[in-house]
Amino acid sequence: MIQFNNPNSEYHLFNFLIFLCIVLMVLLLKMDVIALKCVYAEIGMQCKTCGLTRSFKRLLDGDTNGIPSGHILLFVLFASQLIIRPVISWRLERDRSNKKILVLDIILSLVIVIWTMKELLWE
Amino acid sequence: METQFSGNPKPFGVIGLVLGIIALLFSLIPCVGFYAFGPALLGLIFCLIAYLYMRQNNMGTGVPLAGLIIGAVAISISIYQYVEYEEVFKTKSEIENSIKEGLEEQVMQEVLDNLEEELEKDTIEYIDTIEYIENDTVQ
Repeated sequence: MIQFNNPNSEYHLFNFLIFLCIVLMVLLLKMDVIALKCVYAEIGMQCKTCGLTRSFKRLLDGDTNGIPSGHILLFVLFASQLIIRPVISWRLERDRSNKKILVLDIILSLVIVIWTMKELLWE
Repeated sequence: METQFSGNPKPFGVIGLVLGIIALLFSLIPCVGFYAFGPALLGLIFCLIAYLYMRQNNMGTGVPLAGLIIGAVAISISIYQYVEYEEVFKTKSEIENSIKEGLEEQVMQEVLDNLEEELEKDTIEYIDTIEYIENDTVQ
């Protein structure tokens, strides 16, 4: 049970939930549960995120051939959270008063998200 | 009348924030943007509950407030995606209708052509028969 007496307990819960969401997403992709059809594809148009599920499935199998860089970056953004979240929680637990880690995490996450979305949608 | 809350509201705020962030990321993706509306709304409700409780108890409202802002942005983007979807659906139905109308016209034209051809054949046969009868009668 998470104790909220710890000053960073909210952050630990946040990290845990993000980690859990990504693990769930990987499991759903592996089990072929996610099968969304793009509405743009139905009228013969192709949006920049068409084929994202297929790309993610291929990337999970370690195949990067012919996958758009935006799709790879988004995958890296999600996959990196599986490492970043536990590491940040661990670092924060070792040095509870160090708020620099939180600021660094927020800045780094924002930069990665903006870079990924720029590559995915506007390039 | 003011609502009295009990229990720890902090997890609500964090859950709402996580839902908001995930919804925001998904709302930006054109293929699945509209589906982010549900999680964003859920996150907004969670954050609103936490925010009201924490403000009532003079606790720090940073996390639920961030969740509220992110949730609201995610909802706005997903609504925008829905509007775009509507246009796509409208275009799709227009294309389907024009194909249908075009096909109907094509089928009607083919039927008319066939009818004209048959009528022409029948007319020629009829004239031939009449000519034959006339010749036969003269002889």
